[in-house]
Amino acid sequence: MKFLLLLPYDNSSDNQFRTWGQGISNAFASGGLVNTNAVGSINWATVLRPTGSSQVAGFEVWRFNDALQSTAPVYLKIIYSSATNSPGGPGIQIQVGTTTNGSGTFLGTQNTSLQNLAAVAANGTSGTLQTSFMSVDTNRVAGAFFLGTGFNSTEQYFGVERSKDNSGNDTTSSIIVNWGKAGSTWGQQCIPVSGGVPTAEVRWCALGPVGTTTANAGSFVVSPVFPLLGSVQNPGKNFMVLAVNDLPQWQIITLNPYGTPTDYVRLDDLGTTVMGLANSRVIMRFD
Amino acid sequence: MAIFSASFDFTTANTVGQVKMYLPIHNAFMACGWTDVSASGALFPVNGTRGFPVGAGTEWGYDVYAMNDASQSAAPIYVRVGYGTDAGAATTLKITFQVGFAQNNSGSITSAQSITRTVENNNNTSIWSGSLLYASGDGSRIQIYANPQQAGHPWITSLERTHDTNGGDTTEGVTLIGRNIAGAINYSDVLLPNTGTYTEAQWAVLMSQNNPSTFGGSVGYGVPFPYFGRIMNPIRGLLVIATNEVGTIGVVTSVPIYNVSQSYAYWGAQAGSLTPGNSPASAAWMRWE
Repeated sequence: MKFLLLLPYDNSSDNQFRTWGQGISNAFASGGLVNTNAVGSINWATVLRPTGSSQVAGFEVWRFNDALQSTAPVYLKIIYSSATNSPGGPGIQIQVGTTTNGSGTFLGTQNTSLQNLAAVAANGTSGTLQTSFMSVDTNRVAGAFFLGTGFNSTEQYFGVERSKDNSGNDTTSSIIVNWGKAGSTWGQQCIPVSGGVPTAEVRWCALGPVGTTTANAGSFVVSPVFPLLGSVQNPGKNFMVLAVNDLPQWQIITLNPYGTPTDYVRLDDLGTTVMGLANSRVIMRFD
Repeated sequence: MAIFSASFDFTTANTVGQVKMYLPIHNAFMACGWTDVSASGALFPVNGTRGFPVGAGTEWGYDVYAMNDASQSAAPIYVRVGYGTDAGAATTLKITFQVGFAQNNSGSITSAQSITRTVENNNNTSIWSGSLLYASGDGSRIQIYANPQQAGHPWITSLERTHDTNGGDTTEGVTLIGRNIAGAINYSDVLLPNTGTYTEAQWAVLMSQNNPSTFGGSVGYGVPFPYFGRIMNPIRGLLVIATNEVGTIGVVTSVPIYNVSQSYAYWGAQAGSLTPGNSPASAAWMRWE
């Protein structure tokens, strides 16, 4: 299920904080993920806004709700907080793994470290609603938040999905996690259900463009993003990469990953170094 | 398939240098099985000089070679190798590869689609000595890595036909992928005779930024993918390796490409900056068989 969310980039009041946070939370639920109601989870009726920089107001733990969840569980913890150096700016932190203790703490080693996606020093923009996109189903989630503010870099991206077989079907072997934030901090990590966990990548692994366009002979290059477990794994479907001028911002395009028509939306122009190439941009699954 | 190596000392400051510049490249094409089309006016080993002095921005010689494989009659591919001086100075080396689909036996590539790539232009004004040129190929491909241990001077290039999903050659077109180190230029060129040309200023590879990349017993090898409005099947002539995993100079490693084991050699780290943002720091392995 796809969501176009107009969220206040604003922690100036409890109401504003609850509005953007609960907007995200509601999309998780509407899309088909399950709130584990972990002990200590945020209460949207009573939670107070963060009043300090990088201050945690509360968290939720969501899980997949597909047929594979019983044998290969996937949990996503999302923390609702504030910008690193500004209490007025909303901040999202995520952590993904296979096992939790029921109180918001991941157990074992099969998980990412906590990724703080908050902008460093982005003040809130009181009264202004910012564009955000989410795409959620029982077995995946992708989100891109606070895009195109025009006054500061506030974008915050993440995606979680299962590993894929050669046909693009979900497998139980690992979890594909991608994230990004303002300030050109990008990362991806593939979390196997067992065994060693590779070091997180500091960029997305894709075949990106150098120039502003790859258009030629009536088509242009769109690259999947490939998880890495020593070797290159079958790509996920949440995100892809293309050249800046090959698709306008906010444009929706139908692609055929693994032969299945799937809609993607071109995200903002701030994510310029998703893979170390200044002209690369991100498109996100939007269905 | 053949491998070839030769001394690559040269200078553009005299005719002896011109010969030394020409012969290793010519002999590499011959050793790999290509055909010298004996174009009128071309250089030949017996008269490997076009005279000295020459001014800046002057080409003093060339030769034209044809692939020599089963597809050449139906899908011909030619490369014109030009030798001269760059525009900057009379002592500045310049080597060009012009790739196309037809030639006129007089030193011109005549197909509608062609691309000229300066594989080397070096502002070094001194005589080089102790350099080497390595080549690998057959009648359908050639890989050349010149001066791989000489900082600032190396150049590496791979010319091969496009490939199908099994790695077999196709008659769709040709790829020219390489790096001109002195010019700090990466190039990934695709020519399709019936469609056009496309140039990408990088080797598009899938690489971990972790250096070393080793995880679970696997080492990351970046296989360059050409673009032509789409991602094409990767080339087989070159690989990108993180600097902490390149190994020892001269060591040959077998790597499965298209599920077929191929041999690649590491000749030096000078051809770096092959990954986006140079992350990780990388070097090239060249097909060596």
